[in-house]
Amino acid sequence: MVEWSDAERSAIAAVWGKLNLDEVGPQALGRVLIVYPWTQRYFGTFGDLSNAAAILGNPKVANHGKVVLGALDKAVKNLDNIKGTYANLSQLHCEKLNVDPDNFRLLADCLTIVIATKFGAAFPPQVQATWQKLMAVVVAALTSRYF
Amino acid sequence: MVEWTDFERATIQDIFSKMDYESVGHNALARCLVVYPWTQRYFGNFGNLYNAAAIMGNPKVAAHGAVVLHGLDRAVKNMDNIKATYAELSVLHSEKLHVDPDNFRLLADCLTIVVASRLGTGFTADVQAAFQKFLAVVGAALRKQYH
Repeated sequence: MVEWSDAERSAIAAVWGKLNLDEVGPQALGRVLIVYPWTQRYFGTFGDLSNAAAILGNPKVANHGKVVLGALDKAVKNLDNIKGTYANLSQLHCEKLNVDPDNFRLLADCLTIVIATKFGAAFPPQVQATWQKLMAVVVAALTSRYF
Repeated sequence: MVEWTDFERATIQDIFSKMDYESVGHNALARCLVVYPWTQRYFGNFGNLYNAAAIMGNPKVAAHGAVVLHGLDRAVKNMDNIKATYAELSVLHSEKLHVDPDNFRLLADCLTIVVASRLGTGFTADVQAAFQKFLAVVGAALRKQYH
């Protein structure tokens, strides 16, 4: 089981509490589609993804970004059982959505970068380390039902 | 040979022309040592790396961070020939310093986060894509002489 120190728990709660999920979700997903263009293959029904402006203005991208960040809330509220919390989502991503699990890390990286752009100096190394630990645990949990 | 668009060239020149090399280099290397603690094994003679505060306050970390960033300058000034520019540095990292090349990506990621936190909203998705492409090319060049 993953151990979280008190300092890590409060750091995560502090970061999460300051995030506007409706803003950050679309930005993170938009960046993934722009910076790692092969990920667009998962969103064939989303319409115009032909350039950065189209992606950032696309309402389906925005909506889906909000869905994903909303799901991350479950991990933040269940730090001691992220694996159990995401068991069904893991199965869904594997068996129904056929998402290569490497993409979870790409989205985690883009989310971390969006947070860095918003927090500036309020995202010091210790907080970054804690946040990336959470991302790694989430990615592992989403990958756990793949095999 | 790597192709660079006008936007990518301008973006890289712009980011580095405005960069505080000492501060960004220090911050990026310190983050690497905090977030990926196994990297501390390369700096056995740096003194106290016991915790985040010690790492951030360590003058050898600060000095070496600046050295690394100034090394990046050569790629910025020779974007059309990064591979040859770094041939000697690649040999040095492989044969003398014995640095696992995975670490180039870790440092690149930390540098991206520092630049993102400094530029804030100015670190748009297109800028992020250009910057990550630049660092990927640098990493590949440093890896080139390893085998």
